[in-house]
Amino acid sequence: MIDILNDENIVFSILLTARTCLAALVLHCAAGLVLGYYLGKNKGIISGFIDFLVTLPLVFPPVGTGFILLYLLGRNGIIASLTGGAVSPDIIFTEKGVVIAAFIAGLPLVVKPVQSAIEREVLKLAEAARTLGKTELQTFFLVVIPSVKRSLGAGLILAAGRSLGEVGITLMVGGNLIGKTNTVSLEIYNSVMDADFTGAAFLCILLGSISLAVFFSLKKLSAL
Amino acid sequence: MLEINVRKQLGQTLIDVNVQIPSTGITVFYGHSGAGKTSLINMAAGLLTPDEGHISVNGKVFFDSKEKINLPPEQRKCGYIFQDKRLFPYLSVKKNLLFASRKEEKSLGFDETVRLLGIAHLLKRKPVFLSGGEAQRVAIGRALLSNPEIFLMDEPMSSLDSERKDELIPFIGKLPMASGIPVIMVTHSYDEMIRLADYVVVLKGGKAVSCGTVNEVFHKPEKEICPYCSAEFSKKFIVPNRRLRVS
Repeated sequence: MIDILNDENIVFSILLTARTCLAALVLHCAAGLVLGYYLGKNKGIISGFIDFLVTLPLVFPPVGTGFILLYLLGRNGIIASLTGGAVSPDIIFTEKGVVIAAFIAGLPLVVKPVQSAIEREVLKLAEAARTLGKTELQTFFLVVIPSVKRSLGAGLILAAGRSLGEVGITLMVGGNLIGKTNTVSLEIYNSVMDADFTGAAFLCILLGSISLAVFFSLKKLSAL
Repeated sequence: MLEINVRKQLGQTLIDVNVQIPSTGITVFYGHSGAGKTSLINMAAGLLTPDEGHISVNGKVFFDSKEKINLPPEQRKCGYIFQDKRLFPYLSVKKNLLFASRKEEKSLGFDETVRLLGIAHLLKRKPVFLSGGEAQRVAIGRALLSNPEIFLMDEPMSSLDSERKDELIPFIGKLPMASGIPVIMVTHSYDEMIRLADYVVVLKGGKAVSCGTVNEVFHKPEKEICPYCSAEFSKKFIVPNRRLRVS
């Protein structure tokens, strides 16, 4: 056990995964609320297209999603080509890429519950708040956020679990570079390839414990 | 004076109404489901935008398609009481009442409102622990404390049993007098209309087919037939010596 914790790669992958999950959590919270509200409120062609993009990682193979991101955000990708190289996001095979992979993978799991709660009842409460003199921005903070907090919480827990276990998109965008972008999930794969089954088992137990914690958190949240 | 002159295509129904409503007492929009009653008050509150027309309350223009004026709901000062109450479930009754908290001289105070509606004993409860009648009284109080210039009520008693209805009707009845704020109430119930209305607008298929005081629309011998459903009303339904507050 002590030997495993002295393994630089494993310690790095645990810390990288923790940092990634934390950054993705903050991004999920902000984007989940804004996108969930927008998609719950608007029913048009643009919102339909955004809804499709948000839902895509749920129904499209992660490796495929990763490839699309690579094609979009790469140094010679679509965004760089369209802007003549003026905007060339330097994120591929970096820690930022790992965070984006975790963010994209978990996004639908936050947006969908929030969107559903807003469509179900929150829009009606928001209408009431507007007639009571609150602006749209005040309504968002005073009514929408308190009303969806449970759905948001459940979505965030699920998304964090998804971010922890993300492999496909991370592999394409992050590149599985040892000591740079090897998250816990990728490190399990690396350990098995190196015949280090003890390390792989340790990381599996670690992820399994977190999954259990996620499960019980969700159960507690739904009982509230 | 409230002026509503609007056109709005909603699915198969064209709402085309041009009415002027007195700025005192209780005006009832009366008609069956699908007549356009709720859409009409939603347009007045700013929750639904007309295709064209003009809406104003006491000279303040809420909507004018020609002038391209469309005030957002928060600037219209309409105290809207919804059919489904729409109390904020995560706030106590007291916090619901203080949600709008517009402190202006004209508005009734918190204590006065709580006393008027008889809800002092409910202040610490969450809305989920209120009965239908209690919740609707809290909704009225919340709208009252937002210092509205007009009350809009969308079938406020439709989900209540007759006992709760009898409990709520006196509160609504004394509201214009106690607060000095006119009420527009939507209902399909003849009983509610006859007990509360000073002025009636009868709606059918998106059009205003008749309007006037209750006496003018229903009580004159030549108008004892309901203009909406053609039912004949006998005198026993009519509140005797009802004092009309609208001339």
